[in-house]
Amino acid sequence: MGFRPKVFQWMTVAVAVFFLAGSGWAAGPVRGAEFKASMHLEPVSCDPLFGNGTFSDRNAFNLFYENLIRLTGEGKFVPELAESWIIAPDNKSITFKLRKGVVFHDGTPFNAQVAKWNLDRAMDPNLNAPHSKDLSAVASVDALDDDTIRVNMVEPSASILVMLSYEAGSMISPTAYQKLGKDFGRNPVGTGPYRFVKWISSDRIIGERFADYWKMGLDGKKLPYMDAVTIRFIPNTRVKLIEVKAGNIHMADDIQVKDFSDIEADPNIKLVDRPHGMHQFVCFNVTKPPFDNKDFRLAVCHGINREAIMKVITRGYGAVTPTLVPSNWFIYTEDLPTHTHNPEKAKAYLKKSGLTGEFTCSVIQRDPDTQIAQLMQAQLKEVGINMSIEVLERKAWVAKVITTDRKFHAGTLMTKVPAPDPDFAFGLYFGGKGKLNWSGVDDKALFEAVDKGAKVFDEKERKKYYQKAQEILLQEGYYAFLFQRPLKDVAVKNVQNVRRDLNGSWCLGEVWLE
Amino acid sequence: MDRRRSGPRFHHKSAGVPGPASNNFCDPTMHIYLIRRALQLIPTILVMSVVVFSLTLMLPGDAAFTVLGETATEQQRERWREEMGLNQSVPVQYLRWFSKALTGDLGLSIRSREPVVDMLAVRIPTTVELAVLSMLLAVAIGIPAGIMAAKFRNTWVDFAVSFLSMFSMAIPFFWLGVLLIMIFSVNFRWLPPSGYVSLVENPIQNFRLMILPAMTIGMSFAGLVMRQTRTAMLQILGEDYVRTARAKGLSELVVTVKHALRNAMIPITTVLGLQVGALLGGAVVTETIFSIPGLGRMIVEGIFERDFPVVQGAIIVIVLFILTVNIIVDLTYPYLDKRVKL
Amino acid sequence: MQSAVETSNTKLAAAQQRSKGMLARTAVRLWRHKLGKFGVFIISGIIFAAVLAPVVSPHDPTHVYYEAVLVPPSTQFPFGTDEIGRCILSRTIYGARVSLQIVFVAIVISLFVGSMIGLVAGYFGGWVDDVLMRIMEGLLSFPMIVLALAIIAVLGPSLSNAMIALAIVNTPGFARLIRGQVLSVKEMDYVLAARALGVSDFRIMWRHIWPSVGGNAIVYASLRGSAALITESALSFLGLGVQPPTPAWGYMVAVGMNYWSEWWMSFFPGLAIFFAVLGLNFFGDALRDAMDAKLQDN
Repeated sequence: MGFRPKVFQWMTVAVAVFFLAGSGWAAGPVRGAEFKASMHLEPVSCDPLFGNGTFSDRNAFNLFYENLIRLTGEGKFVPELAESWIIAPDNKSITFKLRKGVVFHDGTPFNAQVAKWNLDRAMDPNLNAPHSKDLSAVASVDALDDDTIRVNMVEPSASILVMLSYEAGSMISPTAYQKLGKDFGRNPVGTGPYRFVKWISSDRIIGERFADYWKMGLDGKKLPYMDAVTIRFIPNTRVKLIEVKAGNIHMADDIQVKDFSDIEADPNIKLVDRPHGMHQFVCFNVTKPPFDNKDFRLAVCHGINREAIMKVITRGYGAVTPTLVPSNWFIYTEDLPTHTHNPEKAKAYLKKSGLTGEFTCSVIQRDPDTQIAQLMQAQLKEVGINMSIEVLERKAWVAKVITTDRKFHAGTLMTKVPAPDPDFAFGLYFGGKGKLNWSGVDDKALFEAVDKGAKVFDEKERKKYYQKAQEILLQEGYYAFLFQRPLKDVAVKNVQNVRRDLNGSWCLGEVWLE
Repeated sequence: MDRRRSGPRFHHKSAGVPGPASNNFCDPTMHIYLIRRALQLIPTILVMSVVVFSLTLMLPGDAAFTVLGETATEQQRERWREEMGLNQSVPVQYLRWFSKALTGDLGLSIRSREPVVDMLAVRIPTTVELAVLSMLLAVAIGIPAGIMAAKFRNTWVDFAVSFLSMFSMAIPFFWLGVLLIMIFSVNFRWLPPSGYVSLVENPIQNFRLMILPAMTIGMSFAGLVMRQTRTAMLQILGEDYVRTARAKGLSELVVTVKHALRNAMIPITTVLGLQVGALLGGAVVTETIFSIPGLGRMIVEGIFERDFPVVQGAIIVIVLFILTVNIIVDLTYPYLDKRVKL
Repeated sequence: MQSAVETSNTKLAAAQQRSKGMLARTAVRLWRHKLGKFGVFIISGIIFAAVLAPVVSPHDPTHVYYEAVLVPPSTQFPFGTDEIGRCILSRTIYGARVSLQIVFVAIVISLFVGSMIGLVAGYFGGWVDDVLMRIMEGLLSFPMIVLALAIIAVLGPSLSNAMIALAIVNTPGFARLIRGQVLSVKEMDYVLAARALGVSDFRIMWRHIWPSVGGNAIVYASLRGSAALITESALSFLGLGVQPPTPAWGYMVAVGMNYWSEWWMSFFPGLAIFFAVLGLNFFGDALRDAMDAKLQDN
């Protein structure tokens, strides 16, 4: 041995060190520790069929439950409990090949019979569950063998895959459900990466690592990387931000726009984009005066200065679009009769309507609805319209606006866009069977356009129909579309690999802390 | 907060219940007295439960929207109301609730299907801790200050104490809470702004989380305690038996604490007892500000969520508690002043 | 035949005479009167500002200055602006209108109704007394805020409903106070004489009893005023007060709570509440002292 082998040894060491240093400790996921998050709204129940309408409960559901397929934040369907699927040529059925070797937290094996049981339960009208209607396009489900099921549809539906990837298609353990009955909602058992530990009302929900989870991590061992996850329920913006800054929470949702610049300035935390934003708009009760009068509606639409409202509320982070469709949605178009801010036109419409120009806007007690209403009021005063504001706490507002005798004039609303499927937004609000048609709009042409858009599979075709629907909405002035505001979460800098569904919910099965 | 008169007091005799023959607890007439007082609680609680029940049922809207979501059909909501028994007439619903309550079953939360009793079991200690800490703080500041003011009457000490007490009684407690958060949580980052960790789990963290809320309520209260103590001490210090004690050569400290203070505790305790209601009212808003999962927040959220069983259960607990405190306050009189008979 | 209370008051007066230093003694008396005067001064100032709000405010409280959102205190906006660009000083001044209205009306109503209940209960005694007092005690065993909250949630948030809620919540206190007073007064000679003469119950209550107890009711009213004000602002803090854009102090404090680096949003409205309560307290104290002095003279 002489110099060379020793040099060679040193060189090897140097190269090794160089590579190690270069790749850093971030080469692989770090295991262990507890992940702490906070969400805005506490779920009412952890039975997925009773999840809330805005799908925000999924932040918690995704800890414990999985579906056949998942709709990622990038808009793609990826296999989850189903390895593959085939849509029949007539578009009236889908056959899923299920993954083998998956077990529930309580040891029950997952197979086609269990999957069928789940979907049958979801469609059971006796449960009186809010998400049952999501599968209204499904006629029946067949378990063809131990790991194949076929979903048969009543008629082709472009959104069926989306529905199956959400609450109605979440798989729960039949054994646990049969044992617990109605109490299942407080004791979720699914196939997800975390097993349920505890749920303290108004405080937090805790899950621990499920050792028999099926999915593998980047390091070749089973997911998840974290030992446990705690999700706290903190509706107060100030509080959650302080907790994140202090490092007591690693991630929090629903950060208000006014805090964006503060977060960007802080080196320890970062803003995390969501796949969608929120659109603020106003609905008019078109079944009663004064908004049964089209000229009055248009007077209000042109009297509002949307740009100004947007600037104040979103501090420039938002955008004004013709309708609720944001610019990053495939059905977006600017070729529409947009409502511009035009006081002269507004006054002219007001005169034409022959009304005195008074109405009440019913607003839920929350940000930014109350601010929006006050800004609207100031603007409408300048064109001679007297809007009075009625702020109600949520239940009272819902009772007033949503009940079928429609006792209100106008109300402020918000909705997440882009929705996982255009039918989610258009169908619900503007469709013939729209559950959220609180305006009471009854317009055949509009219904037809929305309906066709839901049935057709080709994106270009769909865009045409939705353009028609938007045209009608704007021409008739059924709604006053205000502005888009971005939705962001905040996280500590070392949070890695948070996956999301298209609706923005977290999938924390693959997250780690550097 | 509720400021009571600190002038001539009216010992409120429990209407129509004759006092016991002696103040001894073993005396059977004392037992009868206690039983009579307890029985008196019943009509009051009955009245209150009826009032609360009717009020909560009169609230517009119902929990159907929370549980089923806003996209549910009216049919689904009707079915849900049927299931929950909300469509029956008010008296029927009340009787159903009442009969179950008598057996200790306060029903399930409409929203979360948790037993109300379980929810109470978790939340009551939290609010009690908050109330006790606030009271301790108020007393720790207020009584010594009040004594000093009385002893050094008409000097700058008296002046300062009076000033401080007026100041603290005038501060809106929720404003104080907001300011405290801004200063200590946001600006200095000394203390966490929210949440709750139980005393058993982590005493230190629990204390850190409770300081600001306790200060919010306690500091407003301290002023009242200061005033009451001062007035009561002034009164007592001029009494004959105090002069006698002094003449006997007892040290000033002994005179002050052992004799004067002891007797001054009557009016002080009366006022404190009467203030329990105000304290709990303060807790309601304070728990909201600091996101503490206590009884007060349970009520507020229950009202906003139209969760009738929750509101009912919480209100009954509070009413029971306040009325019991009133009785206890009455009971302590004889021990503080041998001359007083119930 | 003096009561124990009167005896001690006399003793107190005697003790006061012996306190060290004439100067100190005078100072204390002046202090008490001064506080009362100070209280009256503050209250008048607030009433003045409320009534003359359009004149005194630098800006329209609902006018939105789009370019001046969340501006700190400056010459143009002495108290700064809020989250939609409105002048906080102007809103604070107008806020006085809301608070004063609600508290004043509520207290007057509860004084009236509560006294009537107390008079009837105390005078007639028996089961009438029992029933009425049970109900009053029941209502009193509630934390004020919770009861008011429930009432407003039922009726809906508005100016008039806030008045109603506060009136209901304050009535039992008056009832109990007046009843207690009536109990001691109704055995007095002149009342017994009137009854012997066959004077109607109503006349007795109105002509003979009420004047003796009314004074206490007024004093109690002024003391309750400040408690009512705090309750009213706590209610609007929770969002159950008047409707926007009408400014209300409590509500402004609540909104400002979320804008923690914009401290002026919460600070100034809260300061206004503080001064109003302080003024009412001073005033009430002075009134009560005056009543006590009268008692001593007797």
